[in-house]
Amino acid sequence: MSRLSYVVRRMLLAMFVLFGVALITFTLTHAISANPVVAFLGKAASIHPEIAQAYIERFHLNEPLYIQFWYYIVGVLRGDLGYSWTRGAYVSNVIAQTLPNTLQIVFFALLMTLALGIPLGILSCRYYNRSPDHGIRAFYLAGICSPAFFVALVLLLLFSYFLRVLPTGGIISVEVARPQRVTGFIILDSLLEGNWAALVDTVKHVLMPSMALALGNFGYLVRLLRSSLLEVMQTNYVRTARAKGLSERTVFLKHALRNALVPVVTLAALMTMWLVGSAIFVENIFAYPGVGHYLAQALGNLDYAAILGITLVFTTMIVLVNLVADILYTVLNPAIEL
Amino acid sequence: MIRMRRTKISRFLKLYTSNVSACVGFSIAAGFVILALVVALGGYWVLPYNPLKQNVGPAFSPPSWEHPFGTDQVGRDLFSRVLYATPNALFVSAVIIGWAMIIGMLLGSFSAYHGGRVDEILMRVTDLFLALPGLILAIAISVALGPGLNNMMYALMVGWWPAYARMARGEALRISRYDFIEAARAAGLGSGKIVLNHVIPNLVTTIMIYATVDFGQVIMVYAGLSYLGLSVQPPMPDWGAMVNYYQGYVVSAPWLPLFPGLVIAIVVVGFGLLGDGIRDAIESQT
Amino acid sequence: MVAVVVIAVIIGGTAYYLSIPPPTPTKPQPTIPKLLVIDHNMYPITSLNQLLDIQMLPWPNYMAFTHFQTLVSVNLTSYFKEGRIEFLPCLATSWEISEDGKTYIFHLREGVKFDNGDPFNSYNVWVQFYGFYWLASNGSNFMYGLSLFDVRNVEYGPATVEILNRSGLANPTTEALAIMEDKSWPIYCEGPYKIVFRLAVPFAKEFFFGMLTGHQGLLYDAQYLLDHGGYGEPANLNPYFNEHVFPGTGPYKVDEVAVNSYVKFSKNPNYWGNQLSKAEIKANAMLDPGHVDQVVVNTKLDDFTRYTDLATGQAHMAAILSENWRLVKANLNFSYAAFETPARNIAVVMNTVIFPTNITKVRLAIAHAIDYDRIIEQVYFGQAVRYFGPNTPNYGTFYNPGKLPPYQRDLDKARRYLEEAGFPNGKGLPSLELKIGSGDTIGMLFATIVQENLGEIGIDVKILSLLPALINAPVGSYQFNLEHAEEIGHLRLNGGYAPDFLSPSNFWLAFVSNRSLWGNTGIYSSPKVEWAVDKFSQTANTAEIIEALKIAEEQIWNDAPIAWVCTTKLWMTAGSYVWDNRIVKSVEFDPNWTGVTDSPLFNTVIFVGEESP
Repeated sequence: MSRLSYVVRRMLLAMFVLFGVALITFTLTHAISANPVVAFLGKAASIHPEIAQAYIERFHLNEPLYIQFWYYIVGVLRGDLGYSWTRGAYVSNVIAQTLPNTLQIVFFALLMTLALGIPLGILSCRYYNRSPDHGIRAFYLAGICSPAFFVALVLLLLFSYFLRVLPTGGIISVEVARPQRVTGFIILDSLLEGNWAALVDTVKHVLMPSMALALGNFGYLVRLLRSSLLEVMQTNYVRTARAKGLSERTVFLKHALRNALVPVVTLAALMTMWLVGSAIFVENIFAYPGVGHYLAQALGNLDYAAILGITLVFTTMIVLVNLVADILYTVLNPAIEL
Repeated sequence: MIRMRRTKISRFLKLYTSNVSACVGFSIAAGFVILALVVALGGYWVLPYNPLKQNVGPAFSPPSWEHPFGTDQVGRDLFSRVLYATPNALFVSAVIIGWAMIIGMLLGSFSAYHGGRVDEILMRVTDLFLALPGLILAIAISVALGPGLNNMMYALMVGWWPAYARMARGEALRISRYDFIEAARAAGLGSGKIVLNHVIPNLVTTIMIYATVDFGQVIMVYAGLSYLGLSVQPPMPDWGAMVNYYQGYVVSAPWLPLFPGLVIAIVVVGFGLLGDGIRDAIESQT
Repeated sequence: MVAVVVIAVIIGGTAYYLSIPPPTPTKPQPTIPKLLVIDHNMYPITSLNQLLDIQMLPWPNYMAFTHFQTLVSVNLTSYFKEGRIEFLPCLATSWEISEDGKTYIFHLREGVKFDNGDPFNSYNVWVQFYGFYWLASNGSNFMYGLSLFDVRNVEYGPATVEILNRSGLANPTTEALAIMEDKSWPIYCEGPYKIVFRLAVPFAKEFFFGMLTGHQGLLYDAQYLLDHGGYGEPANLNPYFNEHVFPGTGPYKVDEVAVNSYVKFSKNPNYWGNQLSKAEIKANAMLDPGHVDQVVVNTKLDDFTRYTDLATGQAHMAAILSENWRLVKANLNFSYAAFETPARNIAVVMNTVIFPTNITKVRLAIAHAIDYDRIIEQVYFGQAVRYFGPNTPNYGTFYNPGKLPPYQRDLDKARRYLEEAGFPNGKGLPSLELKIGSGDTIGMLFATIVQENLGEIGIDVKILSLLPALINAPVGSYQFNLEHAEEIGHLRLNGGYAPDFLSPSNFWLAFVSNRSLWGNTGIYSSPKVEWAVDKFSQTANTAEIIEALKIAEEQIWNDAPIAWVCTTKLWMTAGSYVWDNRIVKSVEFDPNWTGVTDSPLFNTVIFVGEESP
């Protein structure tokens, strides 16, 4: 099967998945009888029922569910994810504003995970079953077994309250001039503009959320790399390299590590998925204006459009990431059959 | 055959108990299970204080001998509350894992055994569910059905079984190639019987090992959903919900959110160590 | 082995952290800041679009009274210190009120400009008020849902707006003037500095002026509205104004808006009050031109973040809620806003329609079982007083005119009531549902105490924590509530209802009348009470109204539909605005008691080291 047809099949599956997710989430969120307009307007809906009526008509809320779903799908295909009550803006706009912030956290978390995970994985293999191995295992176990919100709380207490080195939350301090919005990624924008004050400040703000996520994550990387390396080290391939007389270090770096990293790549792709999902807890605690924060708000207020929109966007990202991971895997390891 | 099994088991146990961290993991996990059962069966009486009664001590008192975890803003004993919430965690994880194992094993082995079209279709369905963003979907379902322990379990069940199905299928594929399966088929046994009596029993060990490790993960995800308020309703205590409820006091009364969170972490670590220990012991055998 | 050590370290570390006392706030600089930083806990709901004022939004409105002003303003001193509501001139310098209380004539201040230079005049006010009419889909109830005006002759719509667009409001054309000065309309102008309101029903000055200091009284630049696309539609407001704030006449203007993050203000050089004398400012603190050049109001959702900002000096004032209140109380460097005549009305509302709370004796039992003192102590930090509603003490002579005592906790009495009702020790009673919103931590605390209190006399209470979007779904007008009585549940907590506008009539209408548009979750109505509520719109004679209220109150005391718990002195009920008293000497707050906003009036902030006026 050629790679092209594989990609096409995967994309078809992806669209099917997205449709299914949209349908399920739509049905579920609308299954509750509450009228979102009344929930949103609160008192005003009762005092001025004519305004409530106008909103209902504007958003087709008095139509049967399947018609509403139809409008919704048509809208999505045009890029319109609906109107978000809790923000008074279109969902697509809000997501466009908040998603880069979440991705910033995920990016830094991924960097930290790799920075922590790869060296520790290598060390773990080197000192297999000796005390450093056990120590590292204790460390990463504590990380992956602590819920993200707990780690975040501890970090907050430690760095913001006791040590006072990092800010308690938000994305940028108010005194610092914001950079012009070019890419939407505030750290990148600061860099492009040469705005060093903003750069330093925004990086300081992203450190703790990323750390909270990374600490809960790097364990999987260590574990995988460790077993992967151990396996590779036993193979004939490596034995041959050693027999050829190459130094231990060359054997290790050029041959063993390179092969052991293959599953790590796919894991990294999958981890992005997990990281984005866990961002909801971390953003909540650090009041970081990302999608997770928005979702938490939307959940409380039953902001259907927002919940649906975010779910769809997340699913799309996950599906894409999976696709990329699979393709990468085949590139790195041509022996794998599609 | 049986003697081989017995020596295998005793060797396994020997390897396992020589690993200290695995023993620690086992004791934490066992402690958790026993505690949960004791509290579930005994109710308030086994706890130092009634977890729901207010003003059993001065409000906001820090940890002390009378109140090892301190008291909250209406003077309830935190230690009793944390203990009282233990059965919930056990119950939820047991149900979810049990369900995931059963559905996963049945589906996976059936699919692998039949192969061909049936396998394709079933695996596509599994892929579909696997691709669903688990946490988000769980949240959406819980929101739709309303908060509550049962609804949250339904939500988690939807997302948990695919991994087991996948794994069971992999294992079943491996087993299906064994001679004794061929023999059974040649003997004329129906596919259902073969799957149930021959394929599955051989799967069980691998799946159960995975399940043990997964147990901790369920607890963690459950704590997350509980943190978002989608689980038991107050004033019934629940670990994740407690962390959320007391989160605001992290500075003025830090013991309140930290202890429930710590307990979650310790229990999950326990299961993690347990699982790692089992895996190591098995790996060393091969 | 190492795992054990690590776990031990974690537990030991936790214990160590708990023994460290919290850090003390850093010493502030002695100089008066150039930028005043205020941390608030909410961003204006929806957006900054002032056209939302008919929907009682945006709330909290950071711009109220500092950027936007009203025709009349409340005398802050008499209100907060003496419990007396008195209105002072603001954008209106004087007024005439007819005997029958139906015609209000306002003489407007001359020479006032909006911060963009547009002139303030009666035509501007006219356009704003008829805008309400248009946005209420041409309803006569455009002022807070009350049908005060006879709108039969009014024709206001896109065609009118066209004419106004061509004319402009600074010097309107004859065509425009013909409409704006048409005396057959309920609101009309007589020249650029005189505007007349003709009500269809008599409405006492106390009530009407209260309306003019609420959401719909904040005056913005209507010319700016016309210049940038007009109103939009009732359910599709012109989004331009979401982030572009209308110009105002107040001491500060808006410089920068970062959605959900902050709003930056700086002094308005065109402010008409910049030349006021110290004596004039003392007489009406709301007119103060401000003591600091720039102000930023931040939205920080996390209480801990706000507290740390305050403690480290990054914010000069912050809203601190109950979670960290103990830290504030313990620190002598912090002062906070607590008022002598409290006005937040906290109550337990009982459903008078569904079983068993429809039985009066059951309600009386509940009202006598609640441990009010413990609630005041543990939920509101002792900063609250008992009261008997529906009005709160700040309404002066309108508050509890019959001087009825609040319900007291008396378990024997409560048990006797239950017995007399036929449920000795609660036998035969179903579980009562107490519904609160999830995330409402104060409400949850309150509810757990009430649950235990009622348990003591044998009543089982189930607390249902619903998503915020669902908690108010079955609540609406009296009629609506009647239809959704089962869904509302037996008990509801009223944790600090904010009046729509500052008026004694507001709570009577909202809580205990069948004309209630929102808030009567007890679904209570009684002929004597309705008769008294009618008086509010039948006569402008306040003495007569007060006599009627006395009789109505007795009825309410005996019927006990609501267990009035307390009114809180802390500005945010179970928390307040806190400032470092080494930097800030004093500050005033919105007299509407969060009917419009709950952020400080930052133009009234006086710093240590300045001489106060």
